[in-house]
Amino acid sequence: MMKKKNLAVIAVGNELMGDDGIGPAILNALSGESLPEGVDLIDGGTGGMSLLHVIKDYNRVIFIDSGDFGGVPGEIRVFTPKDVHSIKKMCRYSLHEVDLAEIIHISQKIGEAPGIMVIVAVQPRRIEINTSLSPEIIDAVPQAVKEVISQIKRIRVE
Amino acid sequence: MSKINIAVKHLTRIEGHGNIVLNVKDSTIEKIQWQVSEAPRMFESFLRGRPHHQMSHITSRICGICSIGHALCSLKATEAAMGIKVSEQTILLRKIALHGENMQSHILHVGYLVAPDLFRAGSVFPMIETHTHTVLKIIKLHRLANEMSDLMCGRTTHPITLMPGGFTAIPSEKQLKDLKQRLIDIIPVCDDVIQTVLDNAHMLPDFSRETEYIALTTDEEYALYDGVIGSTDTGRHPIEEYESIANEFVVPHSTAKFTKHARESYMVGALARFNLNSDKLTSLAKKWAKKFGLKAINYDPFMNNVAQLLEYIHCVEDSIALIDKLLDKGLKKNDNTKYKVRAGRGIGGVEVPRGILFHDYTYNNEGICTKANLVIPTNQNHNNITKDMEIFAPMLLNKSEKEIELNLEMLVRAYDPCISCSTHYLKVEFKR
Repeated sequence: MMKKKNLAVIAVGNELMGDDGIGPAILNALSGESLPEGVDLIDGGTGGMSLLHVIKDYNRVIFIDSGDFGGVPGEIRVFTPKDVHSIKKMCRYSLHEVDLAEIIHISQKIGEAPGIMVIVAVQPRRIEINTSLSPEIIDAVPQAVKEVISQIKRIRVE
Repeated sequence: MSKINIAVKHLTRIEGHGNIVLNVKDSTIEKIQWQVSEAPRMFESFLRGRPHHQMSHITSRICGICSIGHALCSLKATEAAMGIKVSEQTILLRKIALHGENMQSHILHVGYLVAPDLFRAGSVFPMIETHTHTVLKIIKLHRLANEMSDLMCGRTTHPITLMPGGFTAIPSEKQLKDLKQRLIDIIPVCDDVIQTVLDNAHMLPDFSRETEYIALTTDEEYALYDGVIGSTDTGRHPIEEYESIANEFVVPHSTAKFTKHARESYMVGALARFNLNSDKLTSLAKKWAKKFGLKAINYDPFMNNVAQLLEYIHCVEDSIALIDKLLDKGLKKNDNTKYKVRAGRGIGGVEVPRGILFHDYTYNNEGICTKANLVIPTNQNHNNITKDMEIFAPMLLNKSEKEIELNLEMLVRAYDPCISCSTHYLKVEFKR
């Protein structure tokens, strides 16, 4: 069996759906930062179930995603999968649709989940067909980058 | 039941947006429609003015599932237009790439979208609790197909190594040997999943309607990468005649074009391929066809799901044979065909997971596209879906509305329509 890699930061979201694109936007900003070695930045995009095949290779994963937790737009929350339960009503339109919480659950159920998973979520304002982020979401990017870097430092093993 | 009104707006577990409408009054169907509500994509328009080497990369974006098939069909059209003859090695490698995509797409459809119908689950997610081992095996089949596409094309989706005349990079012999071993190892997993579907095949509705089936066909092999157009009604036709095969037309209730050929509708996809080429399947695929009692010509659209599974194992076995062929000959590093850009028209035809696909390009002297026409498999199936519904719905009227709805949804889903995209945000509540 392949040895698992150290740490990945995985962005999830669709850049064509307004604030759903916050994950890729944070990832883009992170790519300009100097990060410790052995940290992979991955755009999970709209990969859906394919995320299962990505996260299995890592011991630690930080997900960055838009998350509707009832906060104010641009609010950032850092939590682990066990801190929350999903109340997302899936449309089941297609496999591009992802509930990250469900992907994490399946991964745990089949014994492939990374030992440590952290989610950095930003409350979106609007999720609709649009290629730009809302102003308060753009303003949240620098703080989200800081949060991700501090999480990398916290969970990373030399 | 005197009145039934079913309006499935945005049918689930298919790729894209389509609606089912059924209105019944006093046991008479007043209206039945399969409506496609996807916005036009305009790909043919924005291909005009683009250079030939960009065509496969642009058209691969038509679909996240059939991106390899679109790229290959695009390359074949460009190569036909410019008289580029690719090497045998390139063809063998492209065939393995196409197998990877076929496997990827079929297991996504049967494993994640159809299996919930067989187990009466709303989606694959609850199945992880109730059918853990089956889901785990489905994930294994999906994973191998993904990694195979990645190896052959440089990434899982939207191939980057395919180019006119050959490849920008090819796998090493060691990587091909490793892939071969993984393909051999996956066969028992594949058998288990097919057996599970066989055990639950009685959950598929009982329905058949005679129609025409169209797919690539050739004497040499189970046609996927190359061949001529085959019809169960009218025999063989050159690829160049694709327009008189598809006969595209528009209907008021749909944004997608419809097609028809010898009859009022025809079907493309795995079942069409099976119906035209089943004698060319590999031995394991034939063995499973026999167990399902599937014989050509089969007129049951629900058997498309089964034909997709047969194709998964066919692609596994055939990929092993293709790798052996490549290794026997020894891999050449620089095997691309050099060519000169020239004006011309070229038509490509490839079998992609959902059926026969055509790309037709015209280039000027600078290799700039001046005209493009694309005929996509799902569009060729819309009319057949409608005609099936017209016969199938009256057979369901003694069932509850919920059951009628489910049966009609399953019918559409059997065609694996791909009309595509969605959102990915989390919605959570903190535990108190």
